[in-house]
Amino acid sequence: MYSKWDIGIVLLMSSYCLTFTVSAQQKSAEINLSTLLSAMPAKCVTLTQGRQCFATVTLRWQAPIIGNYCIYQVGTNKALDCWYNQQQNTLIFEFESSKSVQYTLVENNSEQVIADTHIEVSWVHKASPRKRRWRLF
Amino acid sequence: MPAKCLLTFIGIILLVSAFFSSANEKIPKNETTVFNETFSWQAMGNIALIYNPSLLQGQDQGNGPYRLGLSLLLDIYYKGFFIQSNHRRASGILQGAEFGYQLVVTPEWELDFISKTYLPSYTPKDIIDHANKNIPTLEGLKERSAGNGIGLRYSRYHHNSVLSVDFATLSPLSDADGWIIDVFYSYVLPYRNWDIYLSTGYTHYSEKVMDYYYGIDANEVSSARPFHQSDAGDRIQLELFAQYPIADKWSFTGGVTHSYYSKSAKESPLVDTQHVTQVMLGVLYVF
Repeated sequence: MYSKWDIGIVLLMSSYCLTFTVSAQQKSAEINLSTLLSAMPAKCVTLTQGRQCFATVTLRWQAPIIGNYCIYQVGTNKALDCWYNQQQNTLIFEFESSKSVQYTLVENNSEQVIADTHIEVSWVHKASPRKRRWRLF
Repeated sequence: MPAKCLLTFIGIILLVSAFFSSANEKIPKNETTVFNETFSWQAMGNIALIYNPSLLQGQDQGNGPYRLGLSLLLDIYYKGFFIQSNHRRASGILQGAEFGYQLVVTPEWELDFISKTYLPSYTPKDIIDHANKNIPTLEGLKERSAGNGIGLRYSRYHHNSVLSVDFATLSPLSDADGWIIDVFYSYVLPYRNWDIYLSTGYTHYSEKVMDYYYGIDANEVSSARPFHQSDAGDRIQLELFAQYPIADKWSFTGGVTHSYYSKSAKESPLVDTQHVTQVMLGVLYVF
């Protein structure tokens, strides 16, 4: 039904596709390994739900190649900071938010997000429908 | 006389409430009550090192006024009814907790029916056993039960502060059979993730309350303890308290309270001092 040539072509194409897929996965893995954006601390704890949380946060980033990069806070258009002809760096800033915030590392020329991280805001006491009166003794 | 004072005070509270009710007519109706709020609760555990010296002579002997306190605290709210523990107070599940019902609630002020323990009990025999030493002023003295009271609390909320006035009678729930006015003002100073509370309080104890706790009945007279009938008394408090979040469910709590009692307290043969400083350092876990 099928000639030897037909079977050969199918095998050759399958082999090529398999090789291409593996290669693409390896490349993606390499980019993921070499691209990094991390926050320290990654969590900010406030006393009461809904209250502003304060922390001195260090964002570390690392890109696969030297280039121009900026860190953005998701939801705002203004970059927290930008770097030119660099492959890695750190940003220290004063975090202040009542909600969790996501940050992205963007490659300037392509405007492509290459990494992201977030700082989670949590709390000790949930918001109460009652206003509290506090007293020690 | 106290009954007249009580009625006068309730009258003043109701008049003040009526005044502020009319002053707040611009507030939407659904914000003036919280009766449609759903059930909410919060349970907490507290471990604290407490320095809690006593007014009573000899009570601080033995292990001294230091103790490690372990408490379970509950906050429950349902349609105006509430149980509110005092997060700062490491004195068990009930002492320090306030049971109440919100009679009137506005964003600026609140009037509650309230029941709480205003004064702790003391058992002279237990104090002597704990001190492991005879305390002549307490030897053979009858137990004084807790000063549980019911009354009204008016609270006025401002930005970052609250002023509350309790007018309570101990008669229905306590052997003390008297009344108390308790005024408390607390200002919270948020600094980054810290809450720092600066507070001051004034408490007036009626003659019957003072006499129950610090008076000496004729059948309690001894060589170390002459007959004594107490006058009404007052207490002024200054308090500094701070809370800081450590982790998701943990917070550090610490505070110091200084209380100054009027001369009528010091005149009792049972009482040692007019000044008491209490300190608490601990951690709070929210379940």
